[in-house]
Amino acid sequence: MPVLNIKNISIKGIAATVPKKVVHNSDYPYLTEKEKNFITKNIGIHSRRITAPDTTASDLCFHAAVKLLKDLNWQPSEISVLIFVSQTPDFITPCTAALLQTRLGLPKNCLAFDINLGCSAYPYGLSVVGSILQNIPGGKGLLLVGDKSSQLVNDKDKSAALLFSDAGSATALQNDHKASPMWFDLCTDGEGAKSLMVKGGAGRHPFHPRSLDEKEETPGVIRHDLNLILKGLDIFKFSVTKIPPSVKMLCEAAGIPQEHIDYFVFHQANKLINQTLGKRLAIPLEKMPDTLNEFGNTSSASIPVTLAKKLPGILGSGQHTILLSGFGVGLSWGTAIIHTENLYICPLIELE
Amino acid sequence: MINKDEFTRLIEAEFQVENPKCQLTPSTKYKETEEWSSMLALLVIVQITDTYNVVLDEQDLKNCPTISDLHQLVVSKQNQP
Repeated sequence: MPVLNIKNISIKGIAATVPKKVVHNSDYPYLTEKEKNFITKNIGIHSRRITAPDTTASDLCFHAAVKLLKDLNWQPSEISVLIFVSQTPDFITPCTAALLQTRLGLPKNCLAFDINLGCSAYPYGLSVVGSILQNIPGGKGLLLVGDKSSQLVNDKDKSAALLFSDAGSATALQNDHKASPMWFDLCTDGEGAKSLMVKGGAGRHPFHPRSLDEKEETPGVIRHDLNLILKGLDIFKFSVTKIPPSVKMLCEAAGIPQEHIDYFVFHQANKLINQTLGKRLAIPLEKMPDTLNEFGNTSSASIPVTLAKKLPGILGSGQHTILLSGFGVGLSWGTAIIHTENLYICPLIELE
Repeated sequence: MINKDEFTRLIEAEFQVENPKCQLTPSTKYKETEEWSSMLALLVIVQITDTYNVVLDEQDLKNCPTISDLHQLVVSKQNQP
């Protein structure tokens, strides 16, 4: 779509939750030491966070939302918009946003629905909540974004098992006539849908008695129909060809020279992709916060997790211009430029 | 025009991270070597992206059995408008 410009919307606060349980890639049992070292060195991921089996993505988001509402001194009764963006909802139906509305004690006249997106979720979600709130003077909204990727990835699939962490987040937005405009470039290329996909379990390939039969697709890549398929080379090409033009175009459309951007917070895909983006856009390393080493790829929540881990103090005072860019499953990508002023970012929450 | 020997040395350097004794020639069927893996494939693609500003994908690798084929493809893509 053409560049989207959203006025009168301010981001008031961000919180993110990760599970306390740390998994080290060096302990991965299905590769030799040499292979593990080679992979972890190049993808840049040493440890990951995995939830308890009975914890869902919405649980992680819920804890972030409760803490954020409390810290901002917002009452649940004030919230008129709730959007949950995830690929790992609690149920096939109803939408998880409805369950979160009642769990958070939000009013019944609160608009609530889910969006199914992954690594591009954050810019997309900001644009949707912002667009709706534009028409609600003084209105307040919550964007909850998170994934439990551990439920999708087969541990015996070496192409994906060492990449993902679980995480959830909450972002508070408010209609505010003093806010600077937010800018968005939101794009899709469904031709690449098969590069990142869970084939089974929904309408096209419903669950059947053999859905959980594991197959060795290529050596070391074992999965069943409900597991995530990840074609790393295709995702590399997609990311490094689509994101740099999106960033440049949006800076130009917004009239903000790239060098005036204080931070570029990219989806944390893997070290090779993120380094290549940095090189292609000539971004100084200190302007690209990175949480891959400790948290890996937290899917839809990677941008708020990185903000919460790396920038709470800095963004907490003064004005800043930050660029956010998410890219992945769909294939879908979104870039946003936002201006922040005394943005409250809750230090990263860890859930038992 | 990218020199074929330089191109071969560039790819060889990536293989040597995995195995310092590895040697490649333009006719090497690189995917049949002991060193080849999906991770190495990604490193090769990254190196080609960085050096020649040409981004290859999985299908490109499938279409190129030898280093020489890969070299030709990169040259042709570099010459595309």
